[in-house]
Amino acid sequence: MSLFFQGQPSRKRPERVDDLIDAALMARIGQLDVVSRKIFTGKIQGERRSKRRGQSVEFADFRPYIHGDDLRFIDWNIFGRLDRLFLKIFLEEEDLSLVIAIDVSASMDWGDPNKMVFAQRLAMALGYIGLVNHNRVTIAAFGGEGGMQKISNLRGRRKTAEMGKWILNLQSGNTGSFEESMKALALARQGRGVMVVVSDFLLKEGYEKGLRYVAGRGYDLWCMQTLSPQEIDPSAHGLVGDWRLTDAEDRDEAEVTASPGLVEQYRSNLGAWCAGLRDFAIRRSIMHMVVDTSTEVDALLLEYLRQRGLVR
Amino acid sequence: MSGSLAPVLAIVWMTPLIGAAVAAVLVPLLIALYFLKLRRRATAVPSTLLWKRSVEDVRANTPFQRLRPSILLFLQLGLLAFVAFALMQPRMDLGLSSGGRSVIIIDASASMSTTDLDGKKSRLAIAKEQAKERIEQLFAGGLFSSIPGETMVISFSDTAKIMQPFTRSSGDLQRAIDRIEQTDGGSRIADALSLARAFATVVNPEAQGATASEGASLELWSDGQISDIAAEAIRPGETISYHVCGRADAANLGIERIAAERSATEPGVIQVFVTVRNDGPEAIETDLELSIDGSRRSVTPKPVKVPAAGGGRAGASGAVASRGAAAGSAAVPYKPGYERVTFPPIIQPRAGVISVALVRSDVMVADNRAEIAVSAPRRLRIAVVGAVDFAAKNVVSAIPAEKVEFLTPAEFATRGVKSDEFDVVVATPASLPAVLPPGRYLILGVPVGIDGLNAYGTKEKLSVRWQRSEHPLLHAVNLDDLFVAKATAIAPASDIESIVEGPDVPLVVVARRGHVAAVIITFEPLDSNWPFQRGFVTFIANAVEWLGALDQAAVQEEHHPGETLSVRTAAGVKEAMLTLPDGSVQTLQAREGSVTFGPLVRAGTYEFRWTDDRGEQRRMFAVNTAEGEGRIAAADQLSIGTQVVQGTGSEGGSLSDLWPYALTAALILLVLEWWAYHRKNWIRPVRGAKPVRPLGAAAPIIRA
Repeated sequence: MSLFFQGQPSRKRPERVDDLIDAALMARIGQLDVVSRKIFTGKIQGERRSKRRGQSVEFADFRPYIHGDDLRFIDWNIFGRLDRLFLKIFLEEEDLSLVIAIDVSASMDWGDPNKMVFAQRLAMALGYIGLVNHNRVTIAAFGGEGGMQKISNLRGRRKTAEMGKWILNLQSGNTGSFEESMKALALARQGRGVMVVVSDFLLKEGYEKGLRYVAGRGYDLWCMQTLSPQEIDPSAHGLVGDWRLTDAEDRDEAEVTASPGLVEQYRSNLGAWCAGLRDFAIRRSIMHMVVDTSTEVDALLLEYLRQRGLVR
Repeated sequence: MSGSLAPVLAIVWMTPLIGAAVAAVLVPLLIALYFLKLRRRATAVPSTLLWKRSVEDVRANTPFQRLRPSILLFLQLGLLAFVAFALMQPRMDLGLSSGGRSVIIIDASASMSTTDLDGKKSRLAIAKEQAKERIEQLFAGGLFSSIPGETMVISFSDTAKIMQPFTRSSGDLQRAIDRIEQTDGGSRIADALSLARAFATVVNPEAQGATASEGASLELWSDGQISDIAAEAIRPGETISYHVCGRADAANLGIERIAAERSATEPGVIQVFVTVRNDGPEAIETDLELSIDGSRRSVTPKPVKVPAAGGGRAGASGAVASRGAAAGSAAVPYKPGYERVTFPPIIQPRAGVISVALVRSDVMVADNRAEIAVSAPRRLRIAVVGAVDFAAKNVVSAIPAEKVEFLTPAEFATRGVKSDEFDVVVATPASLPAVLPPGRYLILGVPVGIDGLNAYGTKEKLSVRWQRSEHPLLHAVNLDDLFVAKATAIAPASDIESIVEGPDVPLVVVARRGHVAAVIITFEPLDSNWPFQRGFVTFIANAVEWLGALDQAAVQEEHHPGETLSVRTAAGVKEAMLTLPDGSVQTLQAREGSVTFGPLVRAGTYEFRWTDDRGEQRRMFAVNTAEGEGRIAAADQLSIGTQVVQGTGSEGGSLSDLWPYALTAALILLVLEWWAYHRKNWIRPVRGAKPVRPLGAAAPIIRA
């Protein structure tokens, strides 16, 4: 275990799309599909069932005819037997909108493994799953250089490279607030679908307002809270003694003497912070996960996210 | 020693101020450093949000942080304390050798014969035992001792005696201590210190004769009653440790002085005078018993009450007592209680030894008895030589003497050589030969035959400015109205005692040159108004009597250890036998008509015997315990010059330096502090350990 605080952390940056997602990972996750707990309507016919009944061939139910219904969907056979008008209801298969919003603020560009790199890999993997399954994939990066950035409506496996390059080019920065970014994403919503926010959620202004914009407005929302091992247990990574800690975003300074008591207090505070986010999420039907960046992305997808139901 | 008031484990601080100053500066500085914020390492973190939320960080934002118990602080404070302790150069008796030179100095004065410690052994015997034990300790080695340093043994009473020069032989030192003998003398340490320093001085041949005095560790066994201790000083590099011998509350009653005088009119009658001294806190009544040659002759008719000693502090030496008196409220110097006793006249026409003893016993036996030897009644034989003026002649003629002969200078030149024919010679300077034959002279003018008078002219119209009233010659002599018209101006040498002085010039001096003793009046009596005053008669009588008494002709003086006994014999005598108080007999060579023995060591009766053409002659001397030795209360501290040395109790050894121990402890603390600091900052590598779950069950972490 390297003593992160005692020396220079390793800062291996992905340089190629293969660094974000290699062929083996593609093969393993190629069979997965993103699942929405809710069934939404899509713009064009996709590969999934929609609540909107209509043109699909899969029968769903009958309902009594009401004046104004399309006469083409009346089941005349039942009318012949029962002399009553019933309407046939079909399940319609639609495409799914998958929005992956990753936090590329300065606070994410920290840790070993780096939180931003982890977020990029996770976004790449999830985006690949979305592309393979012909979902409309939108990747948004907030908090980084140039403010909110977005690549929208990618569809199909051949968009993988484009998406990968876009993700590779993301630069961490220190612009824009979480609230504004979420508001922008909510306003730009196209259709319904699944939204995954990857961030550390260590926001001084709070995460509540931002999440309220995107929660319950057509998105099945997932909050992936990524924390580096150094944040989870700083003393085990060399944060011992007297330190002047500088905030990566606002350059605020905190002088600490990392005594065992203080570190324990910090960990307690971190636990309380994560528990607060979790409580907030549960109340709004948001899925929340704390992810250690030392976790492998394939294990995260194939085991944890499959268990939690984001992919199957 | 159970009775000693001195603390057993006394620490002596050589430089307490330096250590205290360092501690006073560094300890607050260290604590202030702990109050102040530390220099911190800087690092970036994703967010200071959670750190700032902790209570500890909020406290850290104040300019000073609360002093929290820290093992590092305690270790550092302990380290500083040991360093300050070492800088104070503490010394304590650890029974170890210091590795340097040691001088063992043992007091063998009369007061050391006191048996107040266990009733059997004297202080000296116990001091010798302890000194021997000390030598064993010195040569036993120790943790920080190098090879045992050279050690020297000196004993002292009135004078000092080197029992053993510097040696590394433990056996020689032990034997030297065994050879130390009890004396009845006084206690003077100056000679002992001079000898110790002389032997400790090393001559460096490469430095062209420059000497380097190596600081020696002096170890003194004494009861602290040393008369000249306040005049001494500890030199740089020297250390002295004082082992108290005796009890501070020891009380003593003794005979301080004894005198006997034959009546001028009835030579067969002797009157004995005794001064009894009390050094105890309470008045004591005692009977005194007078014996002559061992047979009891008289006892005081009623007990003599001797008043208690007053003032001062019983357990302190003289200088300390006076210092304490100056600082404290009891500004009374120590004063023993005295009582003078005069025995009724005793008929004793023969020579004999008169002995007076207390009819009681105490812890110091030596001064419970005093003796004085009286010779057979013999009146003075006086020669008056030359043209002595009528006034002096008349006075001399009136003195009750065996014979008074008037001689011309020529007659004196032929008869005066036989020195024992006349006891006193009264002469004018012109009548005396250039070389004075042995004898005692009263000279009315300045003679040429005595060195050191240094006559350089005359002075006129002189009156007396100063007189040494306590001198026996001036007893009952009033010189206030003396006027001298003309006197010979002299500048006497330092060993010539001036007893009467006018403006700038001595008027009466006492000179002793070998076997010549002279009282010299620097003017002719007729050049003054002195012959017309009553004091002149008294002075001439005093002078003749005093000069005659120098040879014990009529008045008996007592003797004390440290003095020298001298007996005038006939010119042809070659040797004399001396019987010492312990009964042993020594043969002494006679030189220039006299036999000398000394310095005296023990009190008691000394008897000279010699044979001349008149048959066997016999002279007895009685030597009594030194005056002042009756004060036997042991001093718990010594005031040596300006420095006060605390006594360490007799069972203790010498003082060892404690700073090496303090420094070792400081080094150990330094290592501990280093270890504690690095242990605090040391991260144990975790391999295969279960990951911690700080976030609680409510927020499981997704980890590989």
